[in-house]
Order: sequence, then C-alpha cells, then structure tokens
Amino acid sequence: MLTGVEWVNTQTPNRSLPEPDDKPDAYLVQLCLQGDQQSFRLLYRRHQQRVRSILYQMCGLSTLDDLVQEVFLRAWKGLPRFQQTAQFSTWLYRITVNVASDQRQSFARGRSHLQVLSNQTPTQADGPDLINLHYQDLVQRGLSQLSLDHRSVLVLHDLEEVPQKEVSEILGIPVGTVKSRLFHARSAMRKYLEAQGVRL
Amino acid sequence: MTQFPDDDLPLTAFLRQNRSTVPPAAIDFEDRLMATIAAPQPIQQPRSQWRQQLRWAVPTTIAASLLIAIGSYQWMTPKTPTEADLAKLEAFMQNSWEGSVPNTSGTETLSLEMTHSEPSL
Repeated sequence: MLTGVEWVNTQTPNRSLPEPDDKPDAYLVQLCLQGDQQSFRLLYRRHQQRVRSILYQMCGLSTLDDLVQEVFLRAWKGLPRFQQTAQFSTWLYRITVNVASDQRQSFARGRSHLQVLSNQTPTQADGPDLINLHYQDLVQRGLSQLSLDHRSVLVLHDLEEVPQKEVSEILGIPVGTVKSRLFHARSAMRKYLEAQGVRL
Repeated sequence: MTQFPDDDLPLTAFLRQNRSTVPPAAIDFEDRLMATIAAPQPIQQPRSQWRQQLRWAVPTTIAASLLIAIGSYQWMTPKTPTEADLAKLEAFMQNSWEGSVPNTSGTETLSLEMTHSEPSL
C-alpha cells in the first residue's frame, strides 16, 4: 500500500515535495510565508478543484484557466496579509468570488454580439444524453440570468455545498442576507426553468 | 422579521444533478502557475526602489534648500562700504548736485562747499 508521500510522487514523478499531503492548511500557509513554494503547490492541489468549479459556474469556460491562475496568484501575493484567525479556504474562496465578480463586470462591459446570438439559439433535445445536455445548458443559462449577488450565493451554497455560515464569511454579509439572497435566487432560477418547460 | 425557507430540495437536486462538468485544467497548468509564482514580481520592485529614492531625495532637497537660502541671504545683504567707496559716492553726489542746480548764485555753491569742508579750528 502506498503512503501519502509515495502516492504524491507517483502522481508527479518529477517533483519532490517536502511534506506529505496531510498537513493542515494553516501549517502549509506558515511554510509558504517562509518562502516554501512547494507548500503552496500542495495548497493549490487541495483547493483548485473547488476554485475551478466556482469560477466555471460563475464565469463559464472561455477564460477559466486565466481566472484560476489569477486567484492563486492573488492568494500567493496576499498571503502575508492573510489573517490566520480565518480559514484559508474561506479566504481563498473570497478571492475566487472577487475574481469572478471582476470578470463578470468585464463581461458586462464587453458582451459580444456572438454571445447574444448564442443565447437566442434554441436547443431541442431528443435522446436521454441530449436531454441531460439540454438541462445542463439550461442550468448554465439560468445562472447567467441571475445577478452577481444571487449567483454567488446559489453557486456556493446549492452547487458547491458550502454551509450558509461559511458563505456569509466568504461574501462578508450576514447569514440572514445569505438566506434572503438564496431565497430570491432560487425563485428566479425556478421561474426561469419552469418557463423553459422544466417541471420541478 | 421575514423567514426564508432553508431548502428547496427539488430545485437544489435538479441543479446538482444537471450542473455542467468542470473541464480539467491543461496538463502543464500547475507547473506554469508555480513558475509564475517563482518568478520575481515586477510590481513590487519598482515600488521599493521608488521608496528608496524618495528616502534619499528628501534630505537632499532639504540640504539644497538650506544652501540656497544661506547663499541668497549673503548675496542680498549689502556690503559695508569702504572709505574709497564713500569718497566716490560723495564725489558723485556733489557732481550730480552741481549739474542739476543752475550755477547762478554763488551763495548756494558756497554753502554746499561749506557743508563739505572740514571744520576750521
């Protein structure tokens, strides 16, 4: 049976990592603050999937890699200012939402004609796979109809399954506001899906 | 206070079931990211150089200002006239006076000469 170190080395044979991948985030952050970039690589591996997913749900595919890179670059540069009282993941997801927000505002300024045409293109599905693809497309389109505030809450809570308290910390808003935004976001999403013929 | 329902299970289940699969990152993405992090950051260096330059510029400016102030004070202050300067000035004033006043009355010339003459014992 492989140990943690062997497993990591099997996955990445050309890299030697100083620590096994079972250290808490706070410990790795401390090592990063001493200039240990390999610890940051571990933090990246630990959180990149969720960061990537949040960005994908909020901004789509077109600039996904660039946005992921932006998040982790901001995190690396901002580590000296990171307060250890907060969880690293919460702090990282806050950066993620900020990057997504910046990107969405940039999208709003320069929305292309092609994208408008794409939104108007009807999608009809026949077989089961196509129905699933159709539903996926509807979910993406429904998300894109929401305001940034509502979309952030819905993606974090309903899709990424982040607890409401952590969502409130990530977004810097009270839990009551999270509940309120979640309610309105779900209502808007349900209304959109039902208008598209989905029965929930 | 408004109460919001905590869950909308059918909708949440539908969203989770039909969320798009996140496409994986490029194979070398992680290495490129780490290379970017390892590279020197061009933004911070000029800022620190600028601060260092500012640290030197402030005392230099103060010293230069003091030197200029002292120099200009000395340049603007009139020098103490020497005996020769006073004699030249006196001769100039006398010539100017004689040139401007018509030489019709001998009393005025005399009175002027008397004022400048040495007191007799």
